[in-house]
Amino acid sequence: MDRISVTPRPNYQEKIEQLGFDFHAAYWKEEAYYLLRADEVEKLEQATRQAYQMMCEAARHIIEERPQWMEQVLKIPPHVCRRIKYAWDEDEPSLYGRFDFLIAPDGTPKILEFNADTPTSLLEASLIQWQWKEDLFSYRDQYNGIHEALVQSWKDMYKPHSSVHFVGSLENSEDTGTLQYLASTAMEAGISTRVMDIADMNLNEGRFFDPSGERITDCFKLYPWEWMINESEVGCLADIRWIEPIWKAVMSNKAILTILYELFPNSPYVLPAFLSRPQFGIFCKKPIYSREGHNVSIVDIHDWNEEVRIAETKGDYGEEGYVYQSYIRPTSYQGRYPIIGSWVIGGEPAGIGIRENTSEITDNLSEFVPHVF
Amino acid sequence: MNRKTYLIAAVCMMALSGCTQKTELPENPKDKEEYRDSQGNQWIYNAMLMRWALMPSIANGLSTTHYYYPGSGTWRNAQGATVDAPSGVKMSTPSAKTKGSVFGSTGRSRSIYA
Repeated sequence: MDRISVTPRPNYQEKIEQLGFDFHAAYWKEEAYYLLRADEVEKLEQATRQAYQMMCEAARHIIEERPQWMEQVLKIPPHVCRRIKYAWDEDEPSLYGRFDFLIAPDGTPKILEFNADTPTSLLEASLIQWQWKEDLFSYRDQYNGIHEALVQSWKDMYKPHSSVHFVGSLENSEDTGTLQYLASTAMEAGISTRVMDIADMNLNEGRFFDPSGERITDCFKLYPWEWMINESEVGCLADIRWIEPIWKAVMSNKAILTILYELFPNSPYVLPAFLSRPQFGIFCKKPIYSREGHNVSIVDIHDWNEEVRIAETKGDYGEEGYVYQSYIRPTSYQGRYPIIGSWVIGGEPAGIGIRENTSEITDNLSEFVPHVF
Repeated sequence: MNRKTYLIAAVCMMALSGCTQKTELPENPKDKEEYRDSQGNQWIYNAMLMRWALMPSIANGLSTTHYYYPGSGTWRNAQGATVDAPSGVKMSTPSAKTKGSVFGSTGRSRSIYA
């Protein structure tokens, strides 16, 4: 993989905004791109497929064999745990998720985490970088079947003319843009959609209704399960089909990385990860629930004594505890550290988006960089 | 009933009432809002984490701060472990909202971006 500088298209802001990407600011600059080899793409696809199979097995292991782990480690209330078990047994479908991989010096993708519940950077990975490729490198290919996979997944989940509500926190333009994009993919699949703020969902006797009084039976939510569980246990138990399903609450945290390592210690994609402080080694210390790279640090541990190598990033996460994940020094490309966001849609690998940072910890100052191969 | 008997009865009734009265925390508290309930417990609200901190006291028998999450009606200790409600504290039920808008408050102060 190489990072290559490139001149931005003269009118790129206008072009990407026409596709609904109006929250790009300094996040999309198209001053560089990554050139991958075909075998690197194949390796990523294979890693993503296996990573998702392992993640599903880890979730099954927790839900079916160690349900108390959900209460003890994830602090999920017992009633909600039972709802998770029900949703898992009923095989309530999932639309998507995104693995974050770091490429080890030997070229092996290593799982940093799985954004199972509210993965973002979707529109830019799907339509925006494809438009860029078509304009500049139409003769090349891109590992990107994200849009087609989303449309197909909706078709697999719903019959034409079904109705799905799309909810999120619409005060945030990025959330609104992502929701509108996802709703457009559902519409392309023949589904009737309504986009609204999650605060406008009205709960009444265990059912949700929209402001017009229409019953919400199927709801895509761009809002994390851990927040929903914290805000209203009763709301989580309501009679409604959520996308993503509530069993994603088991996957969308860093603690599952420790189960993944416990079950698959020999997988080339899995890094050792622990819930308690190990005796020796260099680790990336991450809160069980954390977003935007908040409260992440790199620590060097000798005889259980922790020495900070890279100071903890800002934030207010960490209350539920931390995970120690073995540290791998990322490869620098022209002074940047890329993370590969590999999408799983309808249970299958669907494409990648690359974000890069000047620091080793990917935070909300990262930039999205398109790719070709 | 003479005055002395009345006063004893009144004090007993007040004490009994204090024992059986249940805590009803304010419904829409502001960040860092302090509240003292009828049992003498001191509470402080954290809007970001959506929880009430119950200060330890002789009255409630706690030696460390405990946290009450009104959204789920659950308790956690200072280490973050889920625990039973402190024996000296009686919360009124229902503690969780069962009607109307129940989701969306965290999204106003935090980002979903992973």
